[in-house]
Amino acid sequence: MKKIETLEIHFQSYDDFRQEVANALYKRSPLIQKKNHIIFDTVASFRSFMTIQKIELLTVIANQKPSSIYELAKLVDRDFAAVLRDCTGLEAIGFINLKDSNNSKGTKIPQLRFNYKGMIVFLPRSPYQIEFSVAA
Amino acid sequence: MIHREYVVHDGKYLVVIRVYKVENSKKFPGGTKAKFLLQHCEGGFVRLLVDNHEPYGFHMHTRLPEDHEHREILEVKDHEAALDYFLNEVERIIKNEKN
Repeated sequence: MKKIETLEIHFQSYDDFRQEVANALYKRSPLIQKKNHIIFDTVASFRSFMTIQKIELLTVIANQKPSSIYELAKLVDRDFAAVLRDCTGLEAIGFINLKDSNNSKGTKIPQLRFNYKGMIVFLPRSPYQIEFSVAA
Repeated sequence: MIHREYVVHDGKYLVVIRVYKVENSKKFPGGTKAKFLLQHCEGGFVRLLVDNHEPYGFHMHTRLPEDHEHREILEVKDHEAALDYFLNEVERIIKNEKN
């Protein structure tokens, strides 16, 4: 049976993140993030980032495969600049890729980073991660 | 050797830690190349970058994306101390923006 690919959202406190990378560096041991993992500092952070509008963009990208950000903006009936800003954020964090289309206009094609069918949000390991951000 | 990404501050920034084993050379003494980045997600630019290579040793780019040539030399002796410095800076930047 073919496995359904999913994107996994995990949470890790800033202190745990610091300790994990510092230990790996000190021991010179490998620490490679899985391609389908995205790690946020807090649940609040994830909720603030992943707006309904961004989920709609992901849905349209996955199902309607727009050939440009302009087309994507038309499909969701939103301002191009706002959609571009959301796409830039989604790409930076690893939800999508903005692929060069090789045309003279420099059009970017929004695509899911890999062919995932859904997202799994894992529960945080510490209750405080639900409410408080690292730097609060 | 190390590639970790970590989203902070309501998805505004992405912390990227990359460490590679490379040939021991004058440019990368000790055979380790490190890059620590704080990337502004929606702006699509790097806010802070720490890396190590000769002739600068460990240094920090603090005026990106406008000025790539501006470097602040870090008085640290190893990668662990550079990482610590970088992560403290990240925390300071986020705290300042929240206040």
